Amino acid sequence: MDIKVATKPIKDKAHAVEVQGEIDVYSSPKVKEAINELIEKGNYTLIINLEGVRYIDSTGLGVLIGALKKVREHNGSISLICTNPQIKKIFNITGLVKIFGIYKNEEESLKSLA
Amino acid sequence: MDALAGNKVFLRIPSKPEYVGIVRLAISGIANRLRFSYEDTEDLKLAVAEACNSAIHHAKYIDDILVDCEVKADMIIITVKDSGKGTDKYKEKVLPESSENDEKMGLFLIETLMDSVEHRIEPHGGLFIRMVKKLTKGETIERQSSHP
Repeated sequence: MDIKVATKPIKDKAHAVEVQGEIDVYSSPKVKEAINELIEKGNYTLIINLEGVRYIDSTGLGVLIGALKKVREHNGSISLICTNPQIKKIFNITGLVKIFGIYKNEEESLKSLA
Repeated sequence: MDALAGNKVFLRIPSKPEYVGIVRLAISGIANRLRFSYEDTEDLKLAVAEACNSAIHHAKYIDDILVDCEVKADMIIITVKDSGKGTDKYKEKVLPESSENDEKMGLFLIETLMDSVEHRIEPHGGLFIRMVKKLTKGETIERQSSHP
């Protein structure tokens, strides 16, 4: 039940956040810390890759919503990469699919920024 | 495979976030044995974990969380509760920043993913969440023929 969070710049356009593991009440503070660190350094366009995420709960969703609020204060955006049907189902039933751009891969999410 | 219908499973965990994953694993194991579909098993895991999150918040990190699973022939009934011994004083010192919105979303998820939900604060102050998930058509629980 470990969580891994890695970040990297993408073509001077955005920063990628790659999350692997389960985002729950125990692990979400680590995800929050990594994302907040990027935002505090002035990175307001984020692509969060959830392809390696097997599980997310309301605290994980709360982290994403909190980050979105912060980047929007700077006219930024957060795109999500997610193809896992179970994770997408959670975004659908909570209505978050309407406020996050959800894409199949990094290339597709970068196109949306163009 | 063992037959589980009629059985009860009781879990008692410390009121700490690191133990919620263990409850998820246990629920997943029970649901798999009951032949719940993958999707229903994932729904159960999330709903029970959300109930535990809520109970941990309510128990304010000092009260144990009780998770009772009752296996019926065509459904699983899960109750999550704490005894309401948490204190506001402790809450101020230990709890991370407010997660009230997460809790509301958690309850919304539970109500959406489960077939029926009962949610209340008991007279002694403890949180009580009872959830029912029915087996969908095509899924069966093996009956325990030797059970009296």
